[in-house]
Amino acid sequence: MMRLTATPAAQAMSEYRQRSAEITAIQDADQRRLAESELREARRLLVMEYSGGFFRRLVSQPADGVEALVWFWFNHFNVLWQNDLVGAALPSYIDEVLRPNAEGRFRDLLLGTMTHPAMLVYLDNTRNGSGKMNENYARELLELHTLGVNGGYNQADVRETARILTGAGLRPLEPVQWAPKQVPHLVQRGEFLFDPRRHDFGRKDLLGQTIPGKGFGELEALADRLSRHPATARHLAGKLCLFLVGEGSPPALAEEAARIFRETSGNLAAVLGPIRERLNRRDAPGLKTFKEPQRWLTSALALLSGGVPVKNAQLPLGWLSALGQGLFSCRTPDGYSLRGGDWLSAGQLAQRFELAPQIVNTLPRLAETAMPPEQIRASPAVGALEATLGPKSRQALTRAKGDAGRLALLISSPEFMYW
Amino acid sequence: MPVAWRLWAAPAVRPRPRFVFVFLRGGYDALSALVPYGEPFYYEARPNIALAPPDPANLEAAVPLDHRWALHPSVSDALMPFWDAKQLAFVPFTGTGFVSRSHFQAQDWVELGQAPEARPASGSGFLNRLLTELDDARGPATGVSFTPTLPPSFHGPMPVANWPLSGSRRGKINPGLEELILAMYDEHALEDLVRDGLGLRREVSLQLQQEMQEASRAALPAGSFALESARMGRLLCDHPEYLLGFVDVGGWDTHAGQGAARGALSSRLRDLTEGLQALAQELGSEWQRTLVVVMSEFGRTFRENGSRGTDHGHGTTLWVLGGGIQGGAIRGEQGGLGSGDLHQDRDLPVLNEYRDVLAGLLAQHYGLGREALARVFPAASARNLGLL
Repeated sequence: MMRLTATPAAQAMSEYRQRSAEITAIQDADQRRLAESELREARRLLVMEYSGGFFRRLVSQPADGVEALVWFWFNHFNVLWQNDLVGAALPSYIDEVLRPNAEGRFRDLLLGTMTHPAMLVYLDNTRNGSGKMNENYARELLELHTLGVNGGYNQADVRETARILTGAGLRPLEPVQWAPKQVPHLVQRGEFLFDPRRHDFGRKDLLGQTIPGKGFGELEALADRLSRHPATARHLAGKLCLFLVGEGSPPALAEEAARIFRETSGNLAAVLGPIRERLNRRDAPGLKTFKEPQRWLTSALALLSGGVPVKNAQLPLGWLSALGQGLFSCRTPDGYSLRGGDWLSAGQLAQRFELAPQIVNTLPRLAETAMPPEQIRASPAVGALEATLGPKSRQALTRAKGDAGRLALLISSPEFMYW
Repeated sequence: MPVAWRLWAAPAVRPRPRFVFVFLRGGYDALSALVPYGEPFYYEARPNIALAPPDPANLEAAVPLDHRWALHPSVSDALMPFWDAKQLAFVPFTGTGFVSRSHFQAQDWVELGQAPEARPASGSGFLNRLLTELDDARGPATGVSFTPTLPPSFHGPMPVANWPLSGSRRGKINPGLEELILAMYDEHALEDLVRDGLGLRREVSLQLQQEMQEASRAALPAGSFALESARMGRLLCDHPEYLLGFVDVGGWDTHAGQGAARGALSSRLRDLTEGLQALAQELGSEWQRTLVVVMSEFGRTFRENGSRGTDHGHGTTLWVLGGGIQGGAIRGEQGGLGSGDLHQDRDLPVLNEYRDVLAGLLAQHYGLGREALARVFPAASARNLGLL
């Protein structure tokens, strides 16, 4: 069976590309198809194993921990692993771009995504060249990643952004004889290549400012310009508040976070300061948000595992898919909705009710040390949660069958659907 | 607030027209379903994947509808009876009023149904807005989506039940637990949704159980759209208050090796059309007041690509089916299909904006006035295709 190398993270990308190229050269159609499906399977395995490790860390950390932020950034800069090279590039994208910058400078995070094969392949920038433009990435870069849909840019800005991005793509697999005048403009990092042959070196006018044509430096200038733009500060601050504090996050908090974003040119640790502070005080009534599937599941697992690490994440990942929020599986570049209310549907609730007993019954087998239901039931976390229940839920709990039934009911309760 | 589940036990309400939207995600190759065999350029542009022109001696040839158009042989078995009964019409040269070759963007556009210049990032879907217009004195109106999550078409203020029908897994919730869950949600803001969800889930679960016992339905291949549609038909039959239904079918993104009379696309098309047949059969007399529209977010390139597939295009072909329509015809504005007629020298041009087409159909199907229609499809100009 074919495997893609998991460490170092960038290795899988190179192997995947190499193998893809070899497969294209296979003459026999049946053999070619077989090789293609083997490669797809290797990519699936890589992503599955990576997802398992990621999920285990996510569950073991607090809701504002680093992995949660990495999840947030992945969702913000979403890519789809089923899309050709992207799956093989996923570990590198997350471990080498998103995590190291999760609480660093937004500008570095942004530039990291702008020069990573995962993003460039997913949003078609590998097809964006001088004279043969593809605006897909440029548009999403402005609309989703930075300024926001009402961020005050127009179609001309999308066009100019696309021009700046021309030539940012993948290195050719065959050796290239570079002309001497092109050499100083080459920027290569692993599979990424800024290809001066495909770049539009003309002057660009973006958001009322001029960016002179100078090659890769334009991408850096673009990252600077976008991360210093007040619309970006507003957009990102709002999203972080929504993610960490919920739909009841006070507007003043988002304004404060946006102000810090502007004043520090996107120092994320500073921006996160007041949001985390608020998060730790968010017991005020009236701030409840419907939990998106992942939050519901991870909170249930945290409650039911009593802090014992989950050793097998494949079943929980399956539950997450059943709930419609499969890890790294959002197909669209806008990522999953961070608004809890968007997840509220009749089917979502019924699916949770169906999963609840399964989770309670299976979890002891997934944890590194088995915890019987009676022990979980007696844990302080469960006690604390039960104390917050309204009279109807409390009444129902007393009628539950056994400790397992009681726990299933607890994670099905209306109180547990909100955070 | 309409509450489907509570009404299910009530005496049958006066039946109203029903609309089912079948969304083909991935951009199906319309030119392989409704084949323009009368166009020499079609054969020129698709040397490997074109369907052979009608020929009674050739089982792999397209089956003619008129002098210009023919059906893929894999769809003609299921669709010809509809065509002959005038219960089927095609609207080629249909599509969105904007050009997006991105699946997700184009799908959202179609489902939200806003004016082309609106470019909404979110907002309500056209089916939810339609539901708002239908929920009036004539009786309860609700929608149902046979999908795991609520599709954008149904996003909006009106509550809609959803549950997928494609699986074979019968999840269990024991009745004791269900009763306790309902007790917890008694008079809670989510009570209606909880009842809708549990009700629909239970019903689907029962249906799957029945299927296991009935050889005839078990004969439909697991995971097939035909099986899903048979389930859909039975559920709709049992619940007249489900005025609007949604289901999606994937697997249409045929960039490589799509085949012609046989192959991957042929199988998808056969499954799809057998599903439509199963739906009509299960609906029985209900079929008479049911309108089905099948469409995709965009069409594919007119020319085949280097890997015997097709790439993302623009114009597509919309299907209209229904027991009460005057079909058996190709409708809407038609254009030429020579090499000079293509949109951006690449795609089927869009001459019939899909919102105009749907607005026209739904206006007549439900007797919607101009203002109501403008709320469902802002700034659309309803196109009368003469089908209703």
